[in-house]
Amino acid sequence: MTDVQARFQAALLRLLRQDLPAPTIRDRLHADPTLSELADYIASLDLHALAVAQALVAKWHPTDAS
Amino acid sequence: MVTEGFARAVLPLFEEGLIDALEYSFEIGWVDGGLPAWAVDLLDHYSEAQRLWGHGVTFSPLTDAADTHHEAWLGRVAAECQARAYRGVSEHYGFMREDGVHGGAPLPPPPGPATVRRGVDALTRLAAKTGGPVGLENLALALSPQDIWAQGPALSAMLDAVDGYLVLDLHNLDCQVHNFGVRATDVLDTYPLARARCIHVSGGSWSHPSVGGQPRRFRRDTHDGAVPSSVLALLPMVLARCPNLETVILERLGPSVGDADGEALRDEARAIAALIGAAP
Repeated sequence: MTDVQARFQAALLRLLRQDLPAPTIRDRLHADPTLSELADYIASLDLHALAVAQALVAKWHPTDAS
Repeated sequence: MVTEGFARAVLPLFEEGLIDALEYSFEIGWVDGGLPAWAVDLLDHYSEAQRLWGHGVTFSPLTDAADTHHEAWLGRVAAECQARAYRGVSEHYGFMREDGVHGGAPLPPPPGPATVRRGVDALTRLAAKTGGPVGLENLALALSPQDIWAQGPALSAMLDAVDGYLVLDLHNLDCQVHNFGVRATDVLDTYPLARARCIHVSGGSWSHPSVGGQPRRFRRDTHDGAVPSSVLALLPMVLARCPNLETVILERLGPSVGDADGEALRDEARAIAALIGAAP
């Protein structure tokens, strides 16, 4: 798993299961130096859509916080 | 998943001769106890008539190919295809697992060439296991406007590589229209409509996610509600733009159908059939 798309997928799913506010998820993705190629894409992430994705993951996985 | 209430609602449609084709989501049968006998009989009947389509939900084709989940899933689908004939087998554009974490529903991958390569690889392996045509369905959830505009070209590249087919889901498209304020026709212009062999029509539900105390209405493809008028309104226009279309599938989750919903569900199927019949 070496390409940036794969790194993004893993980072996103990991963050989505941590019960974090959506802006924090986007900020942490943006701060990850291994995802710098996707900076424009990450900046464009919709916070409400991220919250929906978070709810989907929570339905299938207990959050790390819980 | 295939409930008695669902059976009571839909069996009259078969008796009316309204159902020309079936699409079977494999995972529905992979539960303890499997499928009821009436459902097995229907699948066998439509398979023998060359009118059965296969559809997957949990393959996660755009996940990294090293995920061992892929091989297990492909093995089960290969067994399904040995047991019955399918006109094609499709999955969803997107990823729903990585490093063992399950996303619950397909999520959009970030745009890029690696995403396309991963999709081509997954479809190639799926075709090798099924021995027949394979396809991808457009995704409902977008995390960014970029996801909406990247999906069509990526679907084209992936499907061109395997001579695959598009499953055009109108409710998924409608979700993006509601959630991001885009025009359906503009999004459709980016899709490989000449590759569309199946159309999905379904309903869903509204979520109200809140960020920083600001809630927003968000359309989701949950398959548990009536087909919106906005989705039915898309059908005639799309029928005219898909020259290789073979079937229109009405999707509905079995547990969401109670006895009080039966007549409305049957009316939806009749309305779809009437729109198809009225198409030039």
